[in-house]
Amino acid sequence: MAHPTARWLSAGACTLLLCAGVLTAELQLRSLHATHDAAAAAVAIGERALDQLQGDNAALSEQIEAARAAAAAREASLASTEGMLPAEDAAP
Amino acid sequence: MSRTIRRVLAVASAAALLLGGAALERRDALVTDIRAHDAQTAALAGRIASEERTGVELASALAEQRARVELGDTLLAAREPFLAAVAEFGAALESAQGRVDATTQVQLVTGAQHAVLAERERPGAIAEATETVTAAAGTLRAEVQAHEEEQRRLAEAAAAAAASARGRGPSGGAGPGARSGAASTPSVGGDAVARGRGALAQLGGGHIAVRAYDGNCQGRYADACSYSSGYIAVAPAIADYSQGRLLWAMAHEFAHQVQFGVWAPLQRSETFGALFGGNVESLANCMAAARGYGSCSAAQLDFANAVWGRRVPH
Repeated sequence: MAHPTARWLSAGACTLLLCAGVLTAELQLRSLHATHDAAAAAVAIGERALDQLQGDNAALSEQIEAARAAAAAREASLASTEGMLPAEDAAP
Repeated sequence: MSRTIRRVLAVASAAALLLGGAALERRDALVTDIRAHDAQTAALAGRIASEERTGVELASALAEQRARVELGDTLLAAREPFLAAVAEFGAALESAQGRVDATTQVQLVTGAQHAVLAERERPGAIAEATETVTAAAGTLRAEVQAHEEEQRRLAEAAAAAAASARGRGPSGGAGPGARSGAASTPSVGGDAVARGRGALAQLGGGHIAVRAYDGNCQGRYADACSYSSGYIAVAPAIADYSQGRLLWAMAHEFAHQVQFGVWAPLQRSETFGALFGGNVESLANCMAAARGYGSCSAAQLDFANAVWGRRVPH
């Protein structure tokens, strides 16, 4: 049977080790929280960037449609024979 | 070891174990969350890259469309002086009708028009076409002027001859017979062109040029054919027409000339569609009838008379 003082010491040391483990785990958790927050922030930034790009592209699409309509109008004007001499007609 | 200390150590150990277990659980949850966020970030990066590529393509397409619009504007701007030149040529063509043959100049202008209508790249080509039309208008005006001067010279010569004849007294042929030569209405009879001119003059269309042709009226045979550039062509068969048939034929061709002058409103006229089915030949027949050559309904004759007056009922 061990000496009572040794039993005391070993029990105290175990308790201290357990407490130290808990403290270490807490510290790791804090670090993980920071990583987690950074990852969440990266997702938020990415989503905002994606929204911005999608908005920009939608605006570009609208501008393309408007430019296409304008180009079609120019084409119609270019195809128009208004103001020109009519083609030679002949009637028996 | 005292019982109290033993209890404290036991409680502390139990608390440490509980806290440690909870910490492990929270750690697992955080790691799972972080992995999910990382995956989400990676997916977002892929979508962002894709949107960026789309943006580049869209910007390129927009630049292309804008370049098309800009080129269209440039071509349309170049077309304005061209249309002004065509309008000028149209006025020259109108003054040439019944005076000079404008066929060559009309062909030049219609060729330039075709080139301009087909042009989608080079504004310079439109400027060249404008020069062609301007030159054609100048040539036509010069020809008309030369014709007018020639007519004036002939009229002066005829007047001088008439004065000389009057000076010779009654034996010199004074009287209606001598004067009719100076008036120079084309004689009826003889070849097809002369007969056509005579009939046309009798109908009030003496200002319209009459030319001989082989009977090919834009791909089909006809003894006479009216052209929108301002002349009537007659085949040799016209020479053998009876006078009544000749007058009907020339009234019909003269009617076509008048139709060409009101072509656009005629094509838009609902009454024309209702009365003649949009057929210019039927209308030309009724216009001849309105001059006494043939017969048509009263409504058709009313419409025909209006067209003779250069007015197209809607």
